Amino acid sequence: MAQLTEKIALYLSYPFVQYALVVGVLVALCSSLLGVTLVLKRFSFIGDGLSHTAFGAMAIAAVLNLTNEILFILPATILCAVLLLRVGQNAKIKGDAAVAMLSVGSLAIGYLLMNLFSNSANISGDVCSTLFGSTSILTLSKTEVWLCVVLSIIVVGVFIVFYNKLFAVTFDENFAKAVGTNTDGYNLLIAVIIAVIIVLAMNLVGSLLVSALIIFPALSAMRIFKTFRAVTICAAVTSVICSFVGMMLSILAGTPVGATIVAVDIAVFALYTLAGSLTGGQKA
Amino acid sequence: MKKRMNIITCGLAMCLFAACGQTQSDSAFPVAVSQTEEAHQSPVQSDSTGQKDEEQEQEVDVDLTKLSSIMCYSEVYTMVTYPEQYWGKTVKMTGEMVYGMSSGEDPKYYFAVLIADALACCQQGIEFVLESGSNDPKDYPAIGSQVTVVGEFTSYEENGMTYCQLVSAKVLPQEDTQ
Repeated sequence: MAQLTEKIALYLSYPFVQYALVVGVLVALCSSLLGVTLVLKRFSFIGDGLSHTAFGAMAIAAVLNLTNEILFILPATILCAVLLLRVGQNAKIKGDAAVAMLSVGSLAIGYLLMNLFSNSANISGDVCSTLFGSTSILTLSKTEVWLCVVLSIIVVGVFIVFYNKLFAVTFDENFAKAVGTNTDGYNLLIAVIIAVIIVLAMNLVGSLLVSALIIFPALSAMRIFKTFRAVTICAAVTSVICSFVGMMLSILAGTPVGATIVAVDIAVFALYTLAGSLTGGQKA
Repeated sequence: MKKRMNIITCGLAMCLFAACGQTQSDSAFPVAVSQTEEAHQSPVQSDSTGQKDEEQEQEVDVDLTKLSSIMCYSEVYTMVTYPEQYWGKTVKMTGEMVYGMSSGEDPKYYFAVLIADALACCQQGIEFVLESGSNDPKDYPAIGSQVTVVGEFTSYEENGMTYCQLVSAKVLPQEDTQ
């Protein structure tokens, strides 16, 4: 036990581990907040589609040799999120078909571009790290950490300020529209926030596993709680704890960070499901 | 000349800025493989056994052998990205021995230790030069073997790029790796 404590203390003394824990906790918090809204609006799979779009954008940024890739990835992902969530509702290709098309299309184009034009000596390593987040959270620069902190504060701030409106749009969009709420505007806001979270979360768990970070905490919380507020708070706490535990386990055992966090999320989901079935869930 | 530069650049990029997969790193140095396979009977290990006590007493500032695979990978990534933070520090590392080689009449060898991450898809490596300053593969461990190296961290510029290496390096016998 003393040896383990010593090892944890040693690892926590490394700046890149401290950065990873800060960013990991913030990303987990942000993703879980919006996760509840996405699950309730039946947009669970949109995170997957957008993360693949972000991967495609990252490949283009790498090919263009941009020094700060996020400045390209973020607007591109926001654009796709807006197209899917807002414009997509009136388009000829709708819903799951549009998400699936964007998802696989971006993934394929991204991988193709990286293979054809990348100037990196380690294409497979870059792809592996981007898709599965094996190490990228442990190789963050100070600038990336600050950017993540600022964006996370904005996301949490927006969620708190517009909590009531987001709640209304999530549960009954038609009613909200009928009472004069600018539902299109709030859907646009949700799209932008989702895109920001996706880009942030790519560093933590990789683009293939981003969806897990968004939906698992929300689904876990829904096994036990039934009110929007309770589910949101429980999802946020669960997500933060799972991410922290997942990262510590990964660092200690030498396992890939993203996959370990998702494994912890799955285990917690199983526990919550069991707890929910035993207690019957807390009613509003 | 251009071809030579390309080979050097490719070789060092493989060693220093990560390579992917065991097969790729092996196939990147075909000449070195053929030379070392016939030449090496691990002379370094037998030489260093006599210096065991001295090596054990040597203070290590950055001991990569005590870190988990993912921590080790991340620390080496930091060392390669911000080499100035590690100048002059004594580093101990364990990994797979690889060679790079420039072409031409008087080829120069680059010896490095590769360290894989948890998925083994990403590898970071650090070049090293033995205390004797030898550039002869016969003085180094066999390619593909697991080695533990201790040396002083430094970096140098070549062809406009920054490379990291351990100088005055010693290859420790395997029993000293833990």
